[in-house]
Amino acid sequence: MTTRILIVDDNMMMRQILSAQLGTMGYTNISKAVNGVDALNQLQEAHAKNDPFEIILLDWSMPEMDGFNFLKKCRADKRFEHTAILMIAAEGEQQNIVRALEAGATSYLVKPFAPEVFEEKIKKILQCLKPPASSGQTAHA
Amino acid sequence: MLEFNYEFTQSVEELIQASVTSTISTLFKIPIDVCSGMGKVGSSDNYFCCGEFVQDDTKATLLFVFDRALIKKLTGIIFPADSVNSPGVCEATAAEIVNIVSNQLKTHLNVHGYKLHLGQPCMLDRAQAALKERPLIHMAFSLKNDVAMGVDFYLRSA
Repeated sequence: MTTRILIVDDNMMMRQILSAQLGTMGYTNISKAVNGVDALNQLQEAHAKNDPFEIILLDWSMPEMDGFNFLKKCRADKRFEHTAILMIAAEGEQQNIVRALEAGATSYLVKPFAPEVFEEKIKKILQCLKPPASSGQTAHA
Repeated sequence: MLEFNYEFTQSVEELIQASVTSTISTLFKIPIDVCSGMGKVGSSDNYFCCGEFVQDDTKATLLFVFDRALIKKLTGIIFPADSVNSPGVCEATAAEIVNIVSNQLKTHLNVHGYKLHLGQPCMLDRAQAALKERPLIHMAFSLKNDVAMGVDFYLRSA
């Protein structure tokens, strides 16, 4: 499948797990970033090449720029405001999950998770992906 | 200031036990068991990794002692076989386990009114780990009857 996906996690084991699970689901067009700064650079580069990411899998706690600040920057940028962002984080406090969803995360998954749950989240997000002109708001999956 | 009575300490111990076993079984699909008594990780060649929590003048630490063979086994489940000899890859495996369990503990503590800041997991060497005083909680976990992992919880006020 050609869906372009960016994995953003400072931990290489999580990047490997997510990449492998996406691979078993048939997604092979995957890029990886180690923090928010790296991810923003890759987003801008992909946009400049007219080959944007459709889904971002985003960790919360990372050095340099954490997932929450990356999320706010993305949503403040017209170019990325409709890119689906699935936060996948060990941070499981309800108030922080709500904060992330209010800041524009499309959905949220708490680590550790079963592969079936991850697959279901990705499927729901893909169903919710709509062309930017069809909606002024980010859908929650 | 953090104050743990017996009941609350018990609840923290139960949370750590459930979090460790579910994290290992969910991520790696292998069962890990809690040891009864004061099991100690046997190898002289261990990985030490901790999560540190801070609230005002109080610091809490969750210290994991991983037997090297366990970390290699877990790393080999996720990564290609030759990766198990890379210390960086093995440390990433240890750090993610500590990260997940520490965050679950933070949530548990916050639900009970202890508003703690949790830092990034950090690796320690043997000398640094040996400086730790007596833990408030000590737990050991086994893989096929061999003690493979120890988890200590420390609480200290300045």
